[in-house]
Amino acid sequence: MIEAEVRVYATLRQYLDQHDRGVLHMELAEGSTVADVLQRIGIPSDEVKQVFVDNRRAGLDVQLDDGARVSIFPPIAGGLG
Amino acid sequence: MLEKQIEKRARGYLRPDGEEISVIDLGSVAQIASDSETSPRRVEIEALRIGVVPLKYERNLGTLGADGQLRLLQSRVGVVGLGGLGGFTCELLARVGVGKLTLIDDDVYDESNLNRQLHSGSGIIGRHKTEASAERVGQINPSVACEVHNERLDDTNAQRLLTGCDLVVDCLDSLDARFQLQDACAQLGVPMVHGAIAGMMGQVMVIYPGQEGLGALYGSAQQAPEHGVELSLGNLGATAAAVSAFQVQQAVKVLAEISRPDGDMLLIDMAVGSCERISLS
Repeated sequence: MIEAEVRVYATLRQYLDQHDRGVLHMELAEGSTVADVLQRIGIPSDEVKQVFVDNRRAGLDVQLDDGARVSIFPPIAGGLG
Repeated sequence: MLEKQIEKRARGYLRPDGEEISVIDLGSVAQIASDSETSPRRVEIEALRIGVVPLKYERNLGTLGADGQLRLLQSRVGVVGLGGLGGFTCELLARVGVGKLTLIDDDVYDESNLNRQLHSGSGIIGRHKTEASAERVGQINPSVACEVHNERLDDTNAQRLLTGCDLVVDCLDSLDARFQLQDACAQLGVPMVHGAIAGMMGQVMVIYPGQEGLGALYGSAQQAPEHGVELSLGNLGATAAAVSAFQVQQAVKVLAEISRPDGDMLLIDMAVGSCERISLS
């Protein structure tokens, strides 16, 4: 097994339990990927999101090392009109 | 010449911490500028050089120092986009005493701007945003010289519009335009302070020339979506105020040489009250 710290931000928190403050500590099988984390939380595959693993932008197929830090947040671009 | 007039009109001032300094007030700066046929900005620069602090900057002094204030007065900052982020950014840059602003936006106010755009108002629907912001800057701090461009920044005009800027604040609203701005800043060799908002969330990142910046966040310009979740969440005034405050503080640190912010992204989530750094390198 490996452990990962997963942080979920903004609108994507709707998929977490209500008492959760956005930080999850997950135990996952060796070889687990970003896609496995998203599935465990219940974030739909068509939800627009950005994922960073250990501070690098990561695709769904990226495998996680033990102790990986995963951040998931929606793209935001507003500010003007 | 200027020096003698400044010294003649300077007076002692007791700072809140008990230190006594020499200051010059607004009216004296204006009078000297008028008598000498020069700009009030030039008078303030000369005053700081000889150890006289323009009174309007006195509360900046403890954090920025006279040298930092002098650097700000000598700087030009480009504000690209004068909506939710740009209005607050423009206001704070004028108040802190950045000497020259280049304001770029082709848009006019409409009623849906009133919830968050600082310089909008019910009586000026249809007015150019650049002009309203420049007028406001003149009211706050007449020493700040505004250059106004009622144009939409794109890759054909970006370098021309931003030439002379020491730093650029990204207050735009589409990722495509932001990538174009990042390219222009890299080519001009100036840092860009990126900011974006959606609902109660925002992000801020200082991008130095040569850094991956938005690319590290979204992949390439081609991969990036044009817009984000702000299309459904909308934009709140308090989020715009908070994020532009972070942008301005980063800009001030760079320009006044207080410190050099790293390339981390600040992710501000006002829904839960958190501000976290995400390292993208």
